[in-house]
Amino acid sequence: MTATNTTGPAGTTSTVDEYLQSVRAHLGELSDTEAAELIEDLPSHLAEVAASSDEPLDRQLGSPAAFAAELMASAGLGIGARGSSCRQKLWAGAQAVWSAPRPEAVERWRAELRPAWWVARGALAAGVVGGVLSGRDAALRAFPFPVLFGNTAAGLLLGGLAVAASVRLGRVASALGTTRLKRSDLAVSLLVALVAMAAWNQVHLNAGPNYVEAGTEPPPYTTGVLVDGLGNPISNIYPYDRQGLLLHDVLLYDQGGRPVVNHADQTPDGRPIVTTHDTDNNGAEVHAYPLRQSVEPQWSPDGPSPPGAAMSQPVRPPAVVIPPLPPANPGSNGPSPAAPVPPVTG
Amino acid sequence: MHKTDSRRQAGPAPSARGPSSRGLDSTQMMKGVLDAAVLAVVERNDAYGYEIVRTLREEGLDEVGDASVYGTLRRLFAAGALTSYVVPSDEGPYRKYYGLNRAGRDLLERSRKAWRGFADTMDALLGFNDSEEAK
Repeated sequence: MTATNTTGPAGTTSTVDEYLQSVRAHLGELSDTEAAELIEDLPSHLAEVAASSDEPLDRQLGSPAAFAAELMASAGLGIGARGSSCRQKLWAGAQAVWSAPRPEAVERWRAELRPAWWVARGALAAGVVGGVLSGRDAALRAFPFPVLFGNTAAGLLLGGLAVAASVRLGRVASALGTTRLKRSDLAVSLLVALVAMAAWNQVHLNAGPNYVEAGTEPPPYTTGVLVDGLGNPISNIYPYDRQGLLLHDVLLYDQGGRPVVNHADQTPDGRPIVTTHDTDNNGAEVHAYPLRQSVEPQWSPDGPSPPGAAMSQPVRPPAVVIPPLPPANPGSNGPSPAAPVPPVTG
Repeated sequence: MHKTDSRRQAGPAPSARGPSSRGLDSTQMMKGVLDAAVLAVVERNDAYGYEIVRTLREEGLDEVGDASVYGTLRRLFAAGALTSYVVPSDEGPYRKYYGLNRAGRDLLERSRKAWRGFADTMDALLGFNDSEEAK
C-alpha cells in the first residue's frame, strides 16, 4: 500500500496534513474506526485539490470544521444523522446551545469581558492558593490583597504571575483555537471558579466565634404534660392537709377553672403508668387525686424476678415531709394570710 | 473495470467548492438527489472521489461540495450499493475507486423512476406543460 504522505508541489504537504488533521479533530464524536474509514480517501483528494489551484485549502474547501460537519452529515454519521443514544442527544443539544449564533451585541460584550475574566481568574487563583498556604487569619487580615506565607509582597508577586499566566492562556486558547487548548482554558476557568466559591464558603462559615449552647437541657416532654421546675414529669398529685392527713378524691382545677388532667403517663425512665379513673354520672373520666395507678417494676440486675413480679404493681404514695404548722381555724374557707399553704414535697 | 491512472484534463480544473455561494435553495434540493447523481456517475465508469466531484461539476452541478460527495460515497458503500478497490498511483497516494454492484444498480433504477415521477409533478406544478399554460 502506498504511503499516504502527499508528494505534491513543495509547500502543499504541510497544508494538506494540517487540513486533514483538523478535519480529523472535528470528527471527535465518531469512533476511531468510523472516523478512519470516513477520511480514508481524503489525503489523495486533498492533494489533488491543493495541486489544482494556488488558493489555500480553506478557501477552496471551506473550514475544516465545516468540511467535517458536511462530511458527517452526508455520510449519515454523527449526532442527529442516525439514531443516537440519549446521552448523545443531550451532548448534541448542549453543543447546539453553546455554538448557536448569538446576536452581535452579546458577542461583542462577551469578547470585551473575556480579558477581564482572565485577570480575575488569575487573581482568584493566587488569592486562594496564597490563602491556603498562609492560613485563613493572615489571608483575611490582608484582604483584598493576596498573601503568600503571610507576606503581602510575595502574595502580590504571586498574583501578578497568576494573572499573567491566566491572560496568556486565555489569549492563546482563543487565538489558536485548537480543541484541546480551548478545553484546557475552560477547565481552568471552571476549576478556579469552583475552588474560589468553596474557599469563600469556608471563610464565611467559620468566620465568627462559635457559640456554645448554654443552659439546662430542654424538658424531656413537650407541651401538654405537667412538669416540675426541673422538667421532671408529674404523674400524680398527693394532697395533704395541715395535719398531715392524705386527702382523697380531690378534684383539682387550674386558674381558668379547667380540671388538671395532663399528668404524665410514664415514669422518667420510660415505664408506662396505668391510671384507673373514676367516671362521673355521664360516663366521663374523672381525675380525682391522688390517682389510682400501677406501674411495672424496674428491671432488677440481680437476676430473674420471681414469677408474678413482672406484673404491674400499684403506685404507693411517696414519703412526704409536712412542715410544722399551727392548726387552721375551724371553718376557714381559704388559707389564712399568716400561714401560706405549704408545697407538697417528696 | 477501472481507469488507468491518467488524470483526465478537461479544460481548466474546476474549482473545488465549499459551502454554497449561490444561496440555499439549490443546495438543499441537490442534497436530496446527490445519491442518484453519484450512482449515475459511477455507473458510467468506476471512479474515485475527486474524479466524481469533478464530473458532477462539469455536468452542471457546480454547487456540490467535496465533503458531501465523499460522505455520500461512504454512506452508499456502507449501505452495500457500491464496491470499492484500491489502485496504487505513481503520482503519490493511492486512490480508492468505487463501482456499482447489483444492489447499486437496482437503487439507481429506483432512483430514476422516483426522479421521473417527482420531476413530472414539479413540471406540472410549476407550469412547464404547454397544455397547462394554454388554459
